[in-house]
Amino acid sequence: MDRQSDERWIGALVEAAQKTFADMAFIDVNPTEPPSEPLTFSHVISIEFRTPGTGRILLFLPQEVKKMVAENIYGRDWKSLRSEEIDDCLLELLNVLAGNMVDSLGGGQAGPTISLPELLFSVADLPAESDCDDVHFDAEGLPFKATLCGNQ
Amino acid sequence: MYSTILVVDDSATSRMIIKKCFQMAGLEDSSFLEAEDGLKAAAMLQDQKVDLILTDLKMPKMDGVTFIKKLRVWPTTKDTPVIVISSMGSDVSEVDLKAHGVICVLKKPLSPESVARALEDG
Repeated sequence: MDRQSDERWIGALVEAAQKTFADMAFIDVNPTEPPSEPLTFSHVISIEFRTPGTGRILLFLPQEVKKMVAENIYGRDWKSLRSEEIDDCLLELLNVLAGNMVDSLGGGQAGPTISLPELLFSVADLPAESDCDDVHFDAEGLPFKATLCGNQ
Repeated sequence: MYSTILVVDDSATSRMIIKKCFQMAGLEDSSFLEAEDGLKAAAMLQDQKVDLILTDLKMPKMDGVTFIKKLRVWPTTKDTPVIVISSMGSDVSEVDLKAHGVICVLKKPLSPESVARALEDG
């Protein structure tokens, strides 16, 4: 992946994240510098895409970000949400985010294809990928990370 | 306008958002049925008549395109209007979907405004 296409894909990921978090969960997110303290995650959400390039998006959401997303989407208090509901809305968030990113890179043409999103307990479950970029975000004061991997 | 609407999507979150957006777009009196994939939706349609079907494309067990093709050969559903609601993660074009009687394709995430426009145009 050359530098120019790298920046194009990362730009598409940032725009897709901003649009998806705003439209689905009413949360403003912006790219930011990596936090000084390492982020802690209980699990990772992953989705693959096949066109216009092949790769994977990984979303690393700390508990507080998950809470904000799930409460905003469902309009209910975190304690009233079942774990299945929380997992489902995070998977759907990544599904829509990936669709927005791939669709913008494909120019709205038919062809972009994404997998069903999946929940992973460790990135060790994934095949090793050498070409990955981390993008750090600020979600209304809370940090999270997205990683874009593959041969875009 | 549509008294019974079937929402087919593997995500419960997505089904909830779809239902809310259609209610806010003017279909607050409609009753909504839900299925998590094309296979379950097909089974429901054996003994339940619906006036509108809203379906995702990317689903386990039976995807949206297979489901729509099946609808078109069953006498009770061959003329039922279908709206596709997708994150565009499919290799099927809108033209191909319309050839199977899909009245419009809406991109996720839905908004009540985009649904209202689609209902007006449809």
